[in-house]
Amino acid sequence: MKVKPVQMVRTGWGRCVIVAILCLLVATVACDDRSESRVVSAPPVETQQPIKQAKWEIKTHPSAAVRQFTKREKHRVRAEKPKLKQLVRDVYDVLFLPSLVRQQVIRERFTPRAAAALLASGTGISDRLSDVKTTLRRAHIGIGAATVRQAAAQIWLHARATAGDKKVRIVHRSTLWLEKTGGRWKAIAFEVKQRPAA
Amino acid sequence: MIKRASALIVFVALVTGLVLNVGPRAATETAPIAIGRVHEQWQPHQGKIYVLVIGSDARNGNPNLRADAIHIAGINTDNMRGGILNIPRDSWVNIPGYGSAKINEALHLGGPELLARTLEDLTHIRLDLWAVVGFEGFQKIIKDVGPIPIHIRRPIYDPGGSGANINAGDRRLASDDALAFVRTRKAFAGGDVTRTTNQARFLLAMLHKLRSDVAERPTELLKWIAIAREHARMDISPQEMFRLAVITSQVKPPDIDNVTVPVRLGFVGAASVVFIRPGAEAMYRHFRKYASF
Repeated sequence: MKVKPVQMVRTGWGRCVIVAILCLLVATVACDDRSESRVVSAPPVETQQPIKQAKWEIKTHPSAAVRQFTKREKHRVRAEKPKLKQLVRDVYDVLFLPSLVRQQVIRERFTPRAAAALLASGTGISDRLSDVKTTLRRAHIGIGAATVRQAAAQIWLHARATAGDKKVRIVHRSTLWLEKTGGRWKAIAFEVKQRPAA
Repeated sequence: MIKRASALIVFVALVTGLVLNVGPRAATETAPIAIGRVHEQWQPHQGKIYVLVIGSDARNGNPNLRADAIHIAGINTDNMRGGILNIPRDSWVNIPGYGSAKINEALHLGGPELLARTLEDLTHIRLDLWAVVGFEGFQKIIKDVGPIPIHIRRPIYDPGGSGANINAGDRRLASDDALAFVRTRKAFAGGDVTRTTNQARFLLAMLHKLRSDVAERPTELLKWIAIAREHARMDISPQEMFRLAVITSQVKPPDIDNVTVPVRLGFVGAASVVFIRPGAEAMYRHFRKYASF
């Protein structure tokens, strides 16, 4: 099943939602397998403009129906936690970095369609901003306990920056829909709200 | 009759689970909820997904399955709009291989696959998936996801039929009341036509709850999927189900049209039936082209 990604720009969120994107990807398993076949190790993250980053607060939890989790489920979920935390760190450590660095990591951690949609979305920071400093980095990751192949992550990022002689506050919230195929987690879809946009 | 409302694939999205290679007939007989493919290849055409949602009268002691609720839900992923086409169960149609009969007979005669084929012949819409939900499965899902908020336009009192006794206004229907609401027919002047429209309204209400749950906490989607997985058997993969659920959770209920096929009452012999009016053709065409109305 292959469905075009959908992008949606909202005008709500207080008075000034600048960018909000929803990207939904539905691809065939075959298509995913193809995308997974070119798995490479994560590129080194280097930037010419290192920014001060706030400490990560990442919580993970199994997600299931109303029943209790089995020991096996707990064990399997525990095994996936570090991988999912790393994915979130990889993506959001570079979100406010120059576009070249961002592109590399996003292409690595998203399915091809989702990566293209995110890169086209205006998420991140504008080149005119300087002295970027993140002040909050928080993520909640829920892992489907039954299959341990699907997860959802909610991420909050706050940052401060300077545009000329003006101070800018950036507020970013996003949701990632994550799937494990070919032994590797990737974001298949996302929803982003950020103000101001890049 | 076109009303803003609804959304339904939630039902399907609600349901996710193991890949069990059981035949559709077997699935409907052994699980409170069953989901399957209409065709071997599930390859939605041009971003449109169509799901046949069947509410059956399956319950303890009733081995003869008939469809009490028949809906085709469509989502167009290009614009994230959709529609629900409601088909009254007494519609007099041609059932492939069996001749003319009430459409709800198709489930009994050949399972959800035959009902899907009947609807494909009728509407020329290529269906992707079917989902059959019995009384028990419906109640279990509502019990696990929690009461569904819905606006009841008029008091519903049907002690001799569905057992409904629901006051008008904004209500949160728990499993018993929810089942009574979607089953009530005799309390309405419009009978089965009103019932089928109400069923779609209820699906919309479920979608609304799913969306609000997911907006608050995205991981709620995984919970809904897990709940469905607990009660369903299906022959689509958990991955496909997850993606379908993600899509469904992003469709806004006001962007889904709730449409009931226009019919007129009639008789075939002594049997009371409804005949689908010729105007339905245009409806099918539009739905086929846009997955909405």
